[in-house]
Amino acid sequence: MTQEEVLAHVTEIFKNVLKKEQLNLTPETTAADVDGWDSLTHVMLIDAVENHYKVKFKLNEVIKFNNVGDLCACVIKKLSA
Amino acid sequence: MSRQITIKQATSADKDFIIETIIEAEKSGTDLLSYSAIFNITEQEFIYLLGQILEEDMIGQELCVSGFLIALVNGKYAAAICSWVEGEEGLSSMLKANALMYFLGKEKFLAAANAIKTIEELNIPREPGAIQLESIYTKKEFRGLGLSKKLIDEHINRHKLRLSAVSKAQIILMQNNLSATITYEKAGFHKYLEKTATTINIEKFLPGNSKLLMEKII
Repeated sequence: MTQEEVLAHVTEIFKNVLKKEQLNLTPETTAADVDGWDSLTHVMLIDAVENHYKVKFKLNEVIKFNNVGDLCACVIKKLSA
Repeated sequence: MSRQITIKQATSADKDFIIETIIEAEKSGTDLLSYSAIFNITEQEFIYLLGQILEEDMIGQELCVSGFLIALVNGKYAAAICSWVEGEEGLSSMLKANALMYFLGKEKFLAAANAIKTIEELNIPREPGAIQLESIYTKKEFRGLGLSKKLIDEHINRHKLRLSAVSKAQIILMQNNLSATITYEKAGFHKYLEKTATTINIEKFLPGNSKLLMEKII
């Protein structure tokens, strides 16, 4: 799966969790860039991404998610493992 | 009797005093431990959870051993304060959420969604690039010795040495913690912002319904 494909899926997950019809995510997008991405929705987003891809992030992985690109890269790494 | 005051960097050997510090600072002079109220866990369960989180030593948020400086008086634990520079390791609120999610469990974290949304009303965003001082605590028998000011000054000096561009320090506290407010004013902080909740039941989860942001230009 390419980063573009994962980014497209993750964008849909974010739209669903954040209840936003319009949301443009890029690999550089951070929580500070998205209205409503707070600590609660952060956990909901991680949960939704894990459930969607049937993967489980480790603590030392999630704390290194500085932006959406890091999250997508980790998903790709887990799917290809 | 002369008092010898020593300031030292906390290590994992100081974990029990760090846990005491975080809990007492969180209670803010009341009996309410917000973590227990929000996540529906006992204080003992929170102590266990906190011990696990502290083992990870995740810098950039307040539940981190190496973020603490400790004041010893004649070799006895007397006071402690945590600090970090907001944004240096990511948003502190996200780092803490990651730790709580991992050790508490996602289900338990998400079960607290209503409580988290309730306290969100009192959320005061931390300014990226500003020093954040948190979990400020002095044991009763050592109050009045200026330990908080010494620890705050030491935290600020250490960050300034490391990051010369840092120009501001912030403290977020409950507005009803008047003695702490006076202490921070003596340390050069001024009240910058006050936020009061309109939600009636917020005091089920927090030791007050109003928060204060105090700042110091350094």
